[in-house]
Amino acid sequence: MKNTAKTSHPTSTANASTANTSTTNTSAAKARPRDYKYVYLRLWKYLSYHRWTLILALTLTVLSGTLGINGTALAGEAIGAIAGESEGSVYYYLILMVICYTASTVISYLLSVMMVSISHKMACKMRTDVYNKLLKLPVSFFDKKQTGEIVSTVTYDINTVNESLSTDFIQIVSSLVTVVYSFVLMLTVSPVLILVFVVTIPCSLLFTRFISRRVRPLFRKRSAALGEMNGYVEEMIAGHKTIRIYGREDEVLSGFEEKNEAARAAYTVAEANGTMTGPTVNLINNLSLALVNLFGALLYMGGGILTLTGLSKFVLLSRKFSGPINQIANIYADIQSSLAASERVFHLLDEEEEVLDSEGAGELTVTSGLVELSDVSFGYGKDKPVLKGLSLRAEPGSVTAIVGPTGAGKTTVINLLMRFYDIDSGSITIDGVSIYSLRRDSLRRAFTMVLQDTWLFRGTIYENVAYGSEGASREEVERVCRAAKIHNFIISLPEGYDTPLSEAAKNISKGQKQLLTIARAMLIDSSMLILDEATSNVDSKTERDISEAMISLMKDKTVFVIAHRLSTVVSADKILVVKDGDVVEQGTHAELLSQGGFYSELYSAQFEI
Amino acid sequence: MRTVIKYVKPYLFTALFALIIKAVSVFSELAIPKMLAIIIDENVPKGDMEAVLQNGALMLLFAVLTFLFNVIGNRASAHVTGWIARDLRSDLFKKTLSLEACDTDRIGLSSLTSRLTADSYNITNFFARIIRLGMKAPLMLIGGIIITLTIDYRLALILIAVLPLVALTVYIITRRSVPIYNSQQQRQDEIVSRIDETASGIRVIKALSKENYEKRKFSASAKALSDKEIEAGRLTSLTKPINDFIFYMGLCLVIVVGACMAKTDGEAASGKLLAFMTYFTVILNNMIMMTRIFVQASRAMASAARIEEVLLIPTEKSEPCELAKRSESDSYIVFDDVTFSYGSGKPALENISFTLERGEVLGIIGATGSGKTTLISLLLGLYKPTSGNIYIGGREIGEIPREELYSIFGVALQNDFIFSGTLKDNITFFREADLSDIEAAINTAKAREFVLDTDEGPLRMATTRGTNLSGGQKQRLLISRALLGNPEIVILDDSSSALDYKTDKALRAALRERVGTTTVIVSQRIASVMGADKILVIDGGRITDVGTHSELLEKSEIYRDIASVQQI
Repeated sequence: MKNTAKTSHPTSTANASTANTSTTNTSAAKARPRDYKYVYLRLWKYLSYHRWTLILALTLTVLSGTLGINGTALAGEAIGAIAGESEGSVYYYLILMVICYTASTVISYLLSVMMVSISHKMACKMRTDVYNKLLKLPVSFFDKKQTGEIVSTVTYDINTVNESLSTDFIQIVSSLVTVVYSFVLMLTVSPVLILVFVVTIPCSLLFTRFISRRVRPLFRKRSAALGEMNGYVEEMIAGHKTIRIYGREDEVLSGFEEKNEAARAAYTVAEANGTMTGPTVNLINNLSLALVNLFGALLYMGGGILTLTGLSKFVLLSRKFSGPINQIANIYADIQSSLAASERVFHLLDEEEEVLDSEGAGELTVTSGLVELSDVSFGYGKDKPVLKGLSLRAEPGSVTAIVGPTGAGKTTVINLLMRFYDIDSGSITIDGVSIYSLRRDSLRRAFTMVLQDTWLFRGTIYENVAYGSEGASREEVERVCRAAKIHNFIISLPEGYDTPLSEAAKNISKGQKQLLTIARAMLIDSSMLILDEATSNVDSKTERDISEAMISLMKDKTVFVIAHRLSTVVSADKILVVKDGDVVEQGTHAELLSQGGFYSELYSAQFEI
Repeated sequence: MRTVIKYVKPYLFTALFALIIKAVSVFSELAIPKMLAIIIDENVPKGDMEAVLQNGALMLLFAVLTFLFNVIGNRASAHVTGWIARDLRSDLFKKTLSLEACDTDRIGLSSLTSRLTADSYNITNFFARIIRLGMKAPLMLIGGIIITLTIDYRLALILIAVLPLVALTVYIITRRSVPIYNSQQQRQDEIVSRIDETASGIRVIKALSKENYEKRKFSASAKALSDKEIEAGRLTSLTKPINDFIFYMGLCLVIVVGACMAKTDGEAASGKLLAFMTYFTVILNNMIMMTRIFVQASRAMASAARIEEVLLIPTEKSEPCELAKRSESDSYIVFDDVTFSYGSGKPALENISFTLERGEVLGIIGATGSGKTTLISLLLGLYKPTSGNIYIGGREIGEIPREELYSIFGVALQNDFIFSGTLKDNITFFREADLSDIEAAINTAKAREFVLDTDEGPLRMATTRGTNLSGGQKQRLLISRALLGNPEIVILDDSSSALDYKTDKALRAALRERVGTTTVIVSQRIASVMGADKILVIDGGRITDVGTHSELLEKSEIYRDIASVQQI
């Protein structure tokens, strides 16, 4: 089983390294866990769900191991019986052998099935736990962390733990059983001959340790070099067209050759040294076979200290004995890396969650929809304030537009309103109630958002549009899609509203995606609306076509609009001009134009050639 | 596979050396149990101490020789495999870079990437295994059988009878597990895309309080994955116990036969039995190894086919045509009744004709999907028109050598390529350039504020795809790249959409100062094109109107429409 796992491994490592170059580097850097006790305790929590199965598995391992070795010892007796040394009949030993071996293999199969099911169930639980945790984390976590890192924890790290649990665990116990039991049996045969192992075992341990010490960093370098090359390939192939247009193929190629050669060199060194393990293990096995045989023969001839039966038994048992010893170094390395992997999983599980709603937090019941920010200060980092004492009052049912250069803090206002981030000082109230005394989910449900980054998931178009209003009927979905001028496009698709978006994604443009999210918003009944560059990818003609729908979407709601295109903001009830975290101007379009300040400068810029 | 195998040729000598030395190791390895049988069955009964010592020493010698041969062989194989992999990747990468746009569209960039990474990796592993074991495993198998036959043919027959059983078990189980592994992989991919989705849509999920819905979806996916994992695990767990069982029963049979032999022949031959059990293990292991090679071969074949598909795409040579087509018009850029369609579908562009003089500014405006970007791709020679001709400076662009053609252009495409490297590297884009030229390009592109006037300056690192830059910064970086080296034609495809109007205006003013440069600006904003000498209005793949801003306001309904939405 160990072997099948290994053969399927190369592709998965290849994928992992192509998928995320940085992951390979980080996981290589953290090959061993920092806090063993913490990891063991946490792991045990997962394992303890299956503790009875585990105890049964342990018992079975011991049973299967001893039965196997008994079979081998019996084979020695049988050979002795053939030679006429032992008293019992050959067939007596044979029947016992068959029973031992059959029982041993059947048990070992049951055992691996048990461990497979335990380890995969545990992996399943870990994955769901991690995912559920993700949903509890604050938005800032996702803004800071790369998705690739999270993905590699849920897939690569959990798989490592999983694989190691389903194989290493049994292997350790059965190795122990085999080593101890066959040692005891050999001792009963000939205590003198055991002395051979005084030479070979330390040799073998030292040698494998030496090799794995030397080889591990080489393999790390190998995957780092390969990862770097793959990263380069991925990046440059993405720029294929641009490279062609600028005619820079030769330069890009020479960059590749450099990384390719580095990958080759690292591969050769790692492979040349790594492939020493097999022959070394083989050498030590052969050496101990030769020595046991040689000394055994001498003992036999030197006055019958050893019988032929004893010699046969000893030779067969010594093979059993030396097998696990040679594997210890491998298992040790496997376990180290799987402990390190589980440590990464647990660290993710221990990330700080979104602050719990304060005790007695209430439902938000919007009466009019008056939103007020007063003297709000906020920064994403300690020393980088984005908003400095911002105040604004959005009257119920009014449209407030926020304009200003990029990076001025426009989107930040929305992050704060939705409590994706919490303010550093000041206050935000809705109908006079502080949003921090409300339950987060009820606050968020009071808003509908249409964002610049359209988010659609892999599901049918119907599911995507109905996402915010579970159980919306087909008719309702069609109605909003008609209003968003996307209905005709949808029915032109092969499966209409049931077309899965992953397949349609190829012929669906950015603008159409945005229309779908607008349709989604139209289905949601809330008293406040946020439009963050909601139509930036829709061309002007379509924008005009859906203007009616947008107006009805905005009707009777307190609306916040963020836009580059000033055309979308001219009709706003109030325009806030934000610059460097402060509101520098506010008023209606006409008022701001007549002030002749920053806004009028921005506005007139678009008419000048 | 044939094309890939050719890559062995330059290293044939080392490869053969590795194969042969591995073959030699087989003989010394197989000799060891034979010596064991001789010592126990011949030397010991005679009490010949000297022979025992001699043969014992020989056993040790063979053990050491086996080790040395294997290590040397493996080293040679590591070198050969490394060289082959490097050459293969190098050619594949080179080929991929030289592919025409229609080929990359057909195969897909992500598929090309995975051929370079995952497929080349599979092939490398396969070569490594073949060189290490391709000769050794069969030789061990055959040699082992022959030696056991010389020891005792009756015992050898048991071995030969058992071998197919083992091969069959491994083969059937692996074959059956492949589809299970594949669907397991699919479910794993699903988990990955669920996490991707959640991370990118976390704001929407939280805003709509859909956490529980997403949890249910994920745990269904996780359950589906673990079901498949358990199915695969149960199946593959069978291999070892079944093989062990066959092996153990074989051993029992050997003892049965041994016992019968002792009765009929009257000789005990414990040494033979012991040696036999050793051969048994060696031969079975090699049998399993060979079955694995066959399984791996099928995967390597699939990878090789995917790589060869790319390597064998013919490279189009632009032959110098003697009867070069010359334009009848004197204009600098001429589109003469150009029609183009991707594949066999509806034409993306139909009957496009226009001219542009040197130093003029051309604006192109139209709805998304109207064909603006396709027009640019044709002008750049990325695709060939289905019918009609495009001329630059009087020459048909298909006949202008590629290097010359590309030295004419400076291009900033929609969502163009930004790679991890310094801002300066992204601007120079592997070209030689003076610092003053770079600075001039940055100034014109209005990128000074974040490229030059910061603490880190132009050596600040951009991340892959420029994720650490804002939309407006990326666009200005791309424009700087396009302007560097004073190209004759500057093409800006929707590359100022993320700029606020003030910066956009300053950019346009700076571009106008570059006298003599022919400029093509594609945009959805009227403001970006209104100053152009000529504006094309494109709708549904056709030019509906041509003219200046004021002319179009008068005669083009579409243009007026767009203008009125944009409040102009």
